[in-house]
Amino acid sequence: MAGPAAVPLTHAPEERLIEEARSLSEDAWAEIYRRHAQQVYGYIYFRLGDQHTAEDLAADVFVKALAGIKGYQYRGTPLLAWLYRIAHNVTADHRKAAAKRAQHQAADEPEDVEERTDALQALDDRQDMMRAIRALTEDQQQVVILRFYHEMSNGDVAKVMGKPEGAVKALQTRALRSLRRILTEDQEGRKSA
Amino acid sequence: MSESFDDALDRAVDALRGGEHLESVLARHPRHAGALRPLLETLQQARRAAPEAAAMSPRLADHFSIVRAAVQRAQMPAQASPACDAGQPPSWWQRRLTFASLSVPMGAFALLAFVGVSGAAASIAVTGDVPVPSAVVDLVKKPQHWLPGTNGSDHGNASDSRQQHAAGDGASASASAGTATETPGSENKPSLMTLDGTISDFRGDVFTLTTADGVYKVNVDGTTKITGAITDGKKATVTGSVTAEKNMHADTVDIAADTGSPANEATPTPGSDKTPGSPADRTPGPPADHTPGAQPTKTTAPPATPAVQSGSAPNANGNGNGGGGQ
Repeated sequence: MAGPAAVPLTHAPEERLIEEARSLSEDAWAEIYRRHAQQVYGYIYFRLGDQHTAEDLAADVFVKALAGIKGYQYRGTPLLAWLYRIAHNVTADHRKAAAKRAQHQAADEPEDVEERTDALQALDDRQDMMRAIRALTEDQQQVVILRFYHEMSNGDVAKVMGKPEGAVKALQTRALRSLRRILTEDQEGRKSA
Repeated sequence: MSESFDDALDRAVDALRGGEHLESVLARHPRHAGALRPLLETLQQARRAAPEAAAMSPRLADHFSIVRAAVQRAQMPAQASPACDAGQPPSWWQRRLTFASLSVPMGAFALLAFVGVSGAAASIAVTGDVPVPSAVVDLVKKPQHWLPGTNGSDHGNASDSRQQHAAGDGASASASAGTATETPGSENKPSLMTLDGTISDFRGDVFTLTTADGVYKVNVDGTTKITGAITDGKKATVTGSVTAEKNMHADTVDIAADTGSPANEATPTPGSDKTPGSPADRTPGPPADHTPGAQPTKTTAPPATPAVQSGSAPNANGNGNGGGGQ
């Protein structure tokens, strides 16, 4: 489906892309997906630690974006910031649902817990770090992922989170302190074991 | 005025991200250097754990088909109404034309009805005999046949032609009555609806179906006919009745055959390996280098050029945005 102007969307500015997306252009959505799906996926993956779930939820984010694009107003904030906000909500919903399921099944699978404990010991540094990030509060996770891995500026992170920049800076400090404490405890726990 | 610790850390984070050396960053913040050092070391450790940017995974690229299907479904209402151009509301003159196209036949009908009624009134005034439509006569006559000891032929004024009408109309009336009784209560049933979407949050008797129109809670029970296994992430076609807003009871659930997934794609058990924060994922899932922008090491599909289903689908090269910034 070609857009109104036969100019390829690959290098189109974001404002035009959003305009096309709002008129339900398939090409525009393909371009938005191509530009941002990996980052949305990465954000969700960091927060959930499950590749397939993150891929599925990343697609859900774009479906939800499609549903809300008519009401989206472009005011210079990157589209990705909006997508991150949707991703944050999608992830939070998923975690709540998963926590409920885990409550139902908790008592039934003692072998499973053992398996996880064994597997824990085999985690490498990278997985330790991801686990430590997932142990942070939701807000702290968001700051760490967006600031340290997605290279977003403090101002953009503040827009995504709907918080003042000062609050984001404070969250960043607390997140780094918590991260350090979790990693240190983890190392000490492994040594004593 | 000296800067706060939060400000100093924020500047130091930006400097480290820009490639500056830790010691030189600390040297610029002598007042906070002692407290900054452990946090910046943790930041460096975190950044070392991040993988280098790479392409989108084939499965993620394939998932664009979900988005495309949603776009196509969203296009449907817009295309169904010729007055609407790509979802835009019709302009005033389009609405005016629509009104005019309806008002002309309605006006003609009203005129004919007026002429008919006036004619009938004139006829009554002249003859004193009220012309009764045959259908009304049938309705009046019909119950008399059911009364004991009554006979339709007793009506001396009822002409043969009227009786023939009555017989004919009675047959058609009973035929239509038969049609109505074939689907008793069908009009009272909740409206049936078919949805296509992706399953998530499956919890035994309820799951979430993400469709182009939104997210639906779908309830299944013993009466639901299920084809395939209900699994998070699978696509499904659900037919059922709407019970509340965005809620439906499924009569049938058809799980689409999984296409385009890597061979190692395990069917997730609800709550087992997707639990947030669960550290050891037993699925082949999160490979060490599959963090943002990373290519999965354990997928069996070719890494760099995932099968993308149409020319409009995204290519897998990630546009250089892989795990990077803006």
